Amino acid sequence: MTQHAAHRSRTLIAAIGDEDTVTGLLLAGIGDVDARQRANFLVVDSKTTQEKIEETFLAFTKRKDIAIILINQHIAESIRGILDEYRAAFPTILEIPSKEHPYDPSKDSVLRRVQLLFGD
Amino acid sequence: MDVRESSHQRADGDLLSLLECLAEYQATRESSGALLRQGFFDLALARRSTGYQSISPDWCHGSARASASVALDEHPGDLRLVVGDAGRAPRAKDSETEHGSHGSPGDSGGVRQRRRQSANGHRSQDDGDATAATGDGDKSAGGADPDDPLLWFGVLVPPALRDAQGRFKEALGELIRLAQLKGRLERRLAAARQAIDDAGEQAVPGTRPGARPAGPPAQP
Repeated sequence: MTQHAAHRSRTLIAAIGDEDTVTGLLLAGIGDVDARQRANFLVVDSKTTQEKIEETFLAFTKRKDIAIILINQHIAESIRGILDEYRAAFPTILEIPSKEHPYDPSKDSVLRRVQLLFGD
Repeated sequence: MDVRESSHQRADGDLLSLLECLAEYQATRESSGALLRQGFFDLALARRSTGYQSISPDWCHGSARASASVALDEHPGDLRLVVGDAGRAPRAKDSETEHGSHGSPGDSGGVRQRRRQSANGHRSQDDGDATAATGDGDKSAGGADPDDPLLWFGVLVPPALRDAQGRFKEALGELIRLAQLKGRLERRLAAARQAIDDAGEQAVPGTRPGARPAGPPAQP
């Protein structure tokens, strides 16, 4: 019950992705800007630095109102070290394909651990 | 001997459970990927008809509120995603259908559509049931949902943009289901690993699981 009460306020879906991905997800209705003008999404383009992506990811993980973080897999690769260190149950991190970068199962952290279990 | 057999059986059971979850995870990955690809295609068509710069995240205004969110429901030993509504008790959503049934337990995943208050402070009487991410919740008897992101792009939007929104809403529902499956997969992975370690210790107490027993070298 304590765990549920701690996570009950988590309702938002955050997104870190390229312009097409974020546009699509905003159309789906995930976009939110709170009273402190904090958006729950980040559009990553050629000018976005790795530090900015890391800073935004860490900020999303610290927020108590975000339940899921959707991140393009090719962007996740640029911050793989931080992602691999992340162990919390919430917000849940989910890597998704982008328009230009299809999903690569060999980079899926969960599938890699399953492969290790079976000795592949 | 009985203890060893039971530990092996438990390990087998955990592995089978893990494989079932893995199959569902991969199937959901495929379906969500297909929906996203179609959504990107529809978005490209919409941009082609209206101009690239007219459809971008820049149109998201500074006071936007999420109309699609999730609700976490408590389940013994598990946190589940359910379709809920701010003013009602949450209900489980069947991941195979757009509209969940009331009070159904079991695995579920879904997107909650936020109910909006009208300008006079009263909730809309045509909220209907909480729906999946297909856009049905946007329609009310009075007309368009004032929080519909489509309205950011004007009153008359190209049909391709509306199609893209529907596609991305469907994809969002699948992605939430995928997030739920990912959590479940990680838990079953940990359980399977523990069961295998326990079975290995039962087989040869005091040795490392997976280690081969010492023996004479093979004869040429």
